[in-house]
Amino acid sequence: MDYQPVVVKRAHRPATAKHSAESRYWRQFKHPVFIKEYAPVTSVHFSPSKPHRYAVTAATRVQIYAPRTQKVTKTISRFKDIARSGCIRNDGKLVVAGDDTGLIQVFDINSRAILRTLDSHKQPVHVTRFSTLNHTQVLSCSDDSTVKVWDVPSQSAITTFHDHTDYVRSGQVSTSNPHLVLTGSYDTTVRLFDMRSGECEMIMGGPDASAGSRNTSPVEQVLMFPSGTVALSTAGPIMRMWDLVAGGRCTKALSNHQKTVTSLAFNGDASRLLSGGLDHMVKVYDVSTYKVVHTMRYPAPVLCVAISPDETHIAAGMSDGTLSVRRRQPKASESVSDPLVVLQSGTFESFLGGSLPAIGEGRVKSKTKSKPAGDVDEMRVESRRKKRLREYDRLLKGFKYSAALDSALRKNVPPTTAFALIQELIHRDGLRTALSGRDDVLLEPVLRLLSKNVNDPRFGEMACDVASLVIEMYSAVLGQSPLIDSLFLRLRKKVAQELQFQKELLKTKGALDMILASAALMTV
Amino acid sequence: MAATKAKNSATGRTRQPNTSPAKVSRTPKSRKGKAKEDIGPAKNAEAWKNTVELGEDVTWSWTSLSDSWASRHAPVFTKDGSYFFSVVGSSVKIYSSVNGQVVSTLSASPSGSSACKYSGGDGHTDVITSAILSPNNPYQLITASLDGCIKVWDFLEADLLQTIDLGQPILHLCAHGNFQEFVFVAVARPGKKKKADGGSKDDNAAVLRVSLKPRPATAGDSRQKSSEITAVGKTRSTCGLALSPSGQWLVAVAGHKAYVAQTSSLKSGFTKFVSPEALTCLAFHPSEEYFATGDVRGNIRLWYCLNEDIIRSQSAVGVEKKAQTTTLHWHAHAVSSLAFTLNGAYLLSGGEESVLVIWQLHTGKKEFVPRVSSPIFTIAVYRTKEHEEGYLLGLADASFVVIDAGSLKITKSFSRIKLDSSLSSGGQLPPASAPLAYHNQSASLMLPSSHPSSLQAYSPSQHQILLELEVSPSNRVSRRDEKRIEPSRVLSIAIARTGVWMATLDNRDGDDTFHREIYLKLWHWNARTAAWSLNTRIDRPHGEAMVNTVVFSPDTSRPLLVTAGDDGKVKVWDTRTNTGKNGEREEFWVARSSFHYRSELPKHASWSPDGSLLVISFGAYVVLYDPTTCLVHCVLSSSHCKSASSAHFLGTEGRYLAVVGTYDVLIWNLITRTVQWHRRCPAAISTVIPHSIDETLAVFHNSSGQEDASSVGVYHATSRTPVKVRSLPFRLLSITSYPSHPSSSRNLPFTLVGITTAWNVVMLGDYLPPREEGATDAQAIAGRIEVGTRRTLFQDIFGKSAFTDHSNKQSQPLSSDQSYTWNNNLKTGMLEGPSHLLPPIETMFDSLMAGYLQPRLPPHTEEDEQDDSRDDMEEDVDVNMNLPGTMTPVILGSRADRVVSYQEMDMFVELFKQHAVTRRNSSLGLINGHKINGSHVHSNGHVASVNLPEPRHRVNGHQPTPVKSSIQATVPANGVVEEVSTSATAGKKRKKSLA
Repeated sequence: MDYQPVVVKRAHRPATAKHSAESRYWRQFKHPVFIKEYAPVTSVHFSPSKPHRYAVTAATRVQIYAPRTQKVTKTISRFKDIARSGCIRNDGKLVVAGDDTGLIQVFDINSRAILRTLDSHKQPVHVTRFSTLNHTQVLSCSDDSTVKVWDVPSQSAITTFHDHTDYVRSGQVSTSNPHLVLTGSYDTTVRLFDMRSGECEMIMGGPDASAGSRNTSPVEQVLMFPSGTVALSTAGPIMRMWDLVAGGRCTKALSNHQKTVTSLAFNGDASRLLSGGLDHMVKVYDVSTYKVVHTMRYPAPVLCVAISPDETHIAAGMSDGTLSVRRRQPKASESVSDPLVVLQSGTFESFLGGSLPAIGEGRVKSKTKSKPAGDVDEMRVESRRKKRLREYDRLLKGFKYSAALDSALRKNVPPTTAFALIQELIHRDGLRTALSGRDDVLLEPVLRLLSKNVNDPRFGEMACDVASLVIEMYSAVLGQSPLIDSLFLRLRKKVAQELQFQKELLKTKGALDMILASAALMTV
Repeated sequence: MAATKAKNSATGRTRQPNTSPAKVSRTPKSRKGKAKEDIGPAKNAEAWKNTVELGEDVTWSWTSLSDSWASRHAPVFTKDGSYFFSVVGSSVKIYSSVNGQVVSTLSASPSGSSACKYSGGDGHTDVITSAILSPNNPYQLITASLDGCIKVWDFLEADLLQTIDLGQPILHLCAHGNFQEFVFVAVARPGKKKKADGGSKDDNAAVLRVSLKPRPATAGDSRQKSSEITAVGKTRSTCGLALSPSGQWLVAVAGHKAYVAQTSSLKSGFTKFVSPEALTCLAFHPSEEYFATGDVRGNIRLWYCLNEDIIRSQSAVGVEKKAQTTTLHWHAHAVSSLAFTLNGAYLLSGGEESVLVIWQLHTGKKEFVPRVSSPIFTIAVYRTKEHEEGYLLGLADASFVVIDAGSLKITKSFSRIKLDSSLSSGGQLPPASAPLAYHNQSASLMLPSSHPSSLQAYSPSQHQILLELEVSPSNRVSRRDEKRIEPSRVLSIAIARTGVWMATLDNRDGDDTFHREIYLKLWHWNARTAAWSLNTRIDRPHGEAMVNTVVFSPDTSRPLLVTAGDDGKVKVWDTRTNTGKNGEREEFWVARSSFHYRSELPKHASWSPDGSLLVISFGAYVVLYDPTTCLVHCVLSSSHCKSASSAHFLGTEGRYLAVVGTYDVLIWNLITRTVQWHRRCPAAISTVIPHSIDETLAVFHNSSGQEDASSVGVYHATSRTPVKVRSLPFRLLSITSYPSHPSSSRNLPFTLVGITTAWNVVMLGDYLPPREEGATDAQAIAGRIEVGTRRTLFQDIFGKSAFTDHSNKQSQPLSSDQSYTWNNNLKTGMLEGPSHLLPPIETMFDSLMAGYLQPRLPPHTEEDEQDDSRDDMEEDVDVNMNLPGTMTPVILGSRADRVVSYQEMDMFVELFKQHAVTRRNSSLGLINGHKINGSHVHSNGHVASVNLPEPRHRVNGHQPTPVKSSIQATVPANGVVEEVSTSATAGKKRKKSLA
């Protein structure tokens, strides 16, 4: 029968949400950088192509930030009025933005030169977007209740949709079909237009829709899944999912924000959805369940939120003109294992062998030392690793109780271990031996441990027992060492606090009992 | 009666704390005398009158599963070291030193079972105190016992050669080759004047030289008298008697003194040498003329006083003297045993510290073998035929440990049921109850093991310990001072009906400084590894308060656990499932609900057979709850029973509820909510256990007349007169029912397993499964010794243990119940892996089949037949192997088509009983259907057809058993109201069948 090491008991710990894997991930977006603008930041847009620069629209200018340095690299300020919706094209070379005069301008991102001017809206243009599939088209939504699709080279509108009856404040070209346009308007409807027919094909929401999908507040934001089958819209604090395949049926309505939801964004693979609202919150949803998996709090009402396609930056613009950028240090493995990068990185490079270490006979260095192969009939003497006992176990095995206690009271030993050892000493009838004959230097860690953990429900009782034993043993020498005296006082204070707390709890419990009892009487 | 008492007094000191064996062993004998007194008071009790003819004096049949105490006498080895003799009570067990199996028992113990009482036998009738090999003939064993007899045995043939009756209790015995005819014995001498407080002070003894030659007058008798008895001298009660290796000196150790006499001049008597402490043991150096003693303070003393000059220099004989000694001191507590190694270079000592100390006598240096798991009682040194030396330690938990002298490592450990070592080493009262439960998946009993914080699983059919479970792992540290270390103690076990969950409650009582620690632990049975794993630990389930009851609901799919504590609360615990990150499901236990009734203390909880009612006994009230909603169904209280200690459902229908108080038994009919009958018993009720199927109840009383006896009344739910009254020569700490029903029996018998107050594990009841352990009686081992001594080439290659099993098989017929779910786990594990990793099926076939098929041979089968039958079986199975996953239900289904006539069935049952197992075929075992092979399926099929009656038999109404079981199947699993109707019909039907 071998010596049995001290069993450190595992105590139950309530699993809090902040420790879930999901929230751990989102917590990696740390160190928010706050950049102050002069006016509310109305739009943030990340470039879909590397290096994922982002365009921030505030007041009369659009600023292009470099994600690495978090500094402004370009400032486009050739607007006569408040600029709206700066958007970078897929290839990252052009920027389009509208303004409150109704003018739409297309800029070169590097030279900031105005390449095209699209001018036919009479009212402010709040949305300008490049079509993701057709590079030469731009969508614009204006307060004059029209939606236009422009051909950029010819500076002419291809199609104009007049169906909305109020400001159109959100819109998007489908990412799966370049002919479909989804817009949301202050007339409380979400509409799906088809450029081929030039008609509104689907109306979602609105005051006279059926009960499930009726919507009476202005639509602030629309978003379409990359697959193009489900659309999201927000109106007031409510977010709705529309099944486009089923003819625009509202499949779900969520209300997780306290105030109007102003912006929606997908992460890189559209598995998570971010929504920012005027209640200072940005919430992250798992799109498979539409449960909130994480919540981020911001100092001001959030007007726009965006996450970079490589999921390293989350930018949010707020109504007080603050731009907050949180960044996450991507793991080394993540950047390499991006399958799209490997595919797009060209065959030429891959033939050179530079970029494809994972394919084929890549040499993997094993961490373990390679063992020399011996002869077939050679006998190998296996070195058996002996299980090393911990220091306190070793001392306990030698019945050195006091030393074992000392080694368990070290700074780096968790209190669970220390109390497990104390319990073992109690079982062996050796705690008195271990505690006796200590001077103030040796007694200090004991008292520190006790005063730190006397109100911990895991060890409270044992700590009390040990404390009473210590007091019994050392009350005679009190007053000789100021250090020990102060520790005893601290212990007493801690106990008094705990007693007070328990009293409060009992009061609360009594009150609750009364309420529940009377409630039971009412129901019976 | 007087004789017994005198004996008791005389032996009281020598076997210091361990008086229980004597009591147990003596009771059956003394019962004959006491039986009349027993009935006397019972007759006075009015209620008892009519029960006398039912056989109050009849002992319920019982048999002991364990040895019940650890031997204080060092084992004696045969000359070749292949067997050793261990003295257990009044019998000598012969162990094989290779595998630790008991091969034979001389002077079979009368305490072993109720049956032994009637077989007169030629064994000792009291505790054997000494056993030595005869110096003349190494195949003879001389034993001496407290019954005053010296017996000479031929242990090869297990024959009793000679009995010499001295008439005085013998404490020690020694012999030497120089004195062929004589043995030296120490006998206890009854004091002339008895002290007022009994005989405890009376510890005188005398050393005699006894000739083994019988007196001519008694030569023909079975009990001979010695022809010559010479007194050497008087001593205190001896704790050791030995002759020096040269035969020149006789040394007795007693009290504080060592008594030395020269064998050449015995007339001159003893010279006394004084030790400062009371001595406990004695050992002679194998070659030199000195001896070693151990004392109660842990000192080991080597005495160099065996010198004629020293003895002579003292003119007066019998005066105390000082002698030159060497003291070796390491032990903190009393030295319990000493032994010199064979070459005399080392001295071994052991004691309560569970450490074997090896003293190098030349230098005084010590080596240790620490943590031998239990206090050491005895040490024996032996040499095997290979001339390897080994040390055999007899431990306080009645197990043996072999230590290799070369490596000083524990190489082997032999144990049967381990006993609580703190009890057998004495000084501690046995606890009020002992945890005991039956686990059906491994067909084993969960019992307390050598340490109160650990459990052992003992399989009664295999006679071996299957596993040990440390409920609260602890180091076995011995006490520092006189204050005993309070261990944490397993208080109760509950095992769910499926055998998947086990709940244990372990408690360490608090003292004035530290609080009580109490844990409820839930263990999950892993069928593949056949082990329990800790699933959930609940600290202080009822706060600081003690927990009275831990019981699982009979629900098989998702059992609930109910605990009732001294804090007045009843708690229901339930499983909850957590799905981990990787999708693995994790089950654990949480509190589901907690409730209390007025301010009464819950005493006991039990479940209705279908799990739809939870019954809690709260003092005067017995409350029936709905377990899911925890709402009170009804409250039963009666003026007859002021405080109900427990309540039990009878039978499987849940109609009758037996409420048990300290003196009263009440049967409630739950349908009419009336008391069916009430009975006030004259003696206090200690334990009650209902039958698992039948509507009967066994009530155990502690007999008031005798200290160690109890009586049992078996009652049926319909009548207040007991069905039978039986007596038992012991008292029970805890009891559980053990499933072993003979399949054809009409009235279902009780089969119970209990732990007695003397910490003996007994099986008792109307029907006891036959124990097929070969060596409970005397058996010739001559043939085996030859088998053992001849070393073949194969043994050299494969080791000896590979062959010992085979030789044992010849003598002790293996029952086929040794193939188990248990064993099968190994084989199924073999096939678990992916198929491409398995070796070719041809290579595995033989070993795999050997695992599944247990060749069941009638004892007369000859070798060639054996081969034939084995071939047959293999072919049989070959067919089955082609249908992977074919389970028994297929075969059962096909059987059900055929209507089996009753005679046919009985015939099969008889046949089955004769040829096959008597192990209980529990319904669960059937469902499991763990055997794939053909032969077992047949047997199972028969049993199943017994349990599944055809409707046509029910019409006849002649068969109570099938009728009942069929109704049981129709009882809905919930609701009291429905239950009313069905059980009412059941009652009608029974009436019909009775009429």
